[in-house]
Amino acid sequence: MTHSEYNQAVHQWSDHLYRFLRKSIKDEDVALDLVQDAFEALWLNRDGVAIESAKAWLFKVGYRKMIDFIRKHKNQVQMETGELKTMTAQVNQYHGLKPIINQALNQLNEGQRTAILLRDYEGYDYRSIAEITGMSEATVKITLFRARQKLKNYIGSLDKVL
Amino acid sequence: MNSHKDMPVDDEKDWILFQLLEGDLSPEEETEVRKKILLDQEWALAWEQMQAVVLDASEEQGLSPTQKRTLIKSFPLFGASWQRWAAAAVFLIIAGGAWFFMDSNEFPVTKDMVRESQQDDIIPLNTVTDTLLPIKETDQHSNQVTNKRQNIIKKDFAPRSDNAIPEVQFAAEPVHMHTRFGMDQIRFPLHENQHVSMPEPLKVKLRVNYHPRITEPLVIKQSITRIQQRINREIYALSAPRLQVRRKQEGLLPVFELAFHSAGYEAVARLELKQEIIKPLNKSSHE
Repeated sequence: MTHSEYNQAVHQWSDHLYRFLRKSIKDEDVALDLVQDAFEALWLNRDGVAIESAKAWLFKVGYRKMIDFIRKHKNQVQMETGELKTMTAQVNQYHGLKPIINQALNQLNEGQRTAILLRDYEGYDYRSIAEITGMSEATVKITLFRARQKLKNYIGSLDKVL
Repeated sequence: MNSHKDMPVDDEKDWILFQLLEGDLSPEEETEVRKKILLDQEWALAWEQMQAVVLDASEEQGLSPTQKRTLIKSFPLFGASWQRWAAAAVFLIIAGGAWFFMDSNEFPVTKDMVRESQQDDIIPLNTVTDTLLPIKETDQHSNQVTNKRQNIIKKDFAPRSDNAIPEVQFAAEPVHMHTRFGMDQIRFPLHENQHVSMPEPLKVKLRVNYHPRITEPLVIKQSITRIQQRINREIYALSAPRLQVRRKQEGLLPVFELAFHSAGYEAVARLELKQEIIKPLNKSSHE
């Protein structure tokens, strides 16, 4: 990968990677750090990465760094009170399903959330998700099913209450 | 339906609808499922809910242009090592040549540039008259070229009273001496009354405000690399176009030296971190 191709990868994939990590980590600053880490790693290894596989490479590295971060900070709880208040206000006003689905995403475990984000945000197939996450294709399919089922049931339970 | 054989889950309906959503059904199976959705209210509701949980990335915010700029690697003036040497050599040749000509105080006049003119209003340069070649009367083209050159000489280089060769005029621009591109010194042609300035680094105390949502102390629980990245981002957000952050190790304590240029000034700061070292318990203390 040349210097220009690296910068091209930044323009093309930095938003995608940030959205994925932001949704997974739920912390904007940490997500930014992880995006920087991933691109720094890409820069250092640019000789061994082709531009065509840069996206998958970035997501793989970003995912692993995210998992490392989550495991390291498993016992810490960060209260984002500002964001919580905003979400509550949106649910009360019912601006569509987006805030409800955001809440529902928090119910998923890391693997389920990762699988559904990679599938819906990036359009990856089972095989690509398996490469990024290190799971088998069959496991990816089941994990994705469980994720969708949980989200569907969460929405379904709200419908019954309302 | 064949998909049932692969179904490792309990909820058959959800599994089938999931496969329909993901496009994993054969055309025949898909037709069958869609019929069920049309005819059965429970299936219709379940299908509507399954479709509703597909996430939409277009609603999500990406990086700001400023944040994206921190990821871009700017092109160095000198790239690979051979390019670096080639560019440095070219630069030195040009700078050296300019220095040679300007410092020698001589106007590079050659024999071919001046012709004796037959026009009375041309003011000859006395020091080069000895080298003037006579113009042939039949050489009309040479006459035209020579007339043009003589006119230029008359306009731009009027002779001085002592008949010395006039000096080339320099713009009175200040010369700024600084370290660039790894070269310790760059020689510029210096003349009388030419202003030379040196950058004076200002030592200021930097206060970096970290994001208020961070609850843990940065020193203990954040990695040094992460701190460095956050410093880059925070200061970059202040419209500082150039920032250098250098990490040094002084004993056990890391130290950051920051230098940045913004709004016409240059600042240098030093950020020291305190690190708490937790010594492992010795086994002997328990015995």
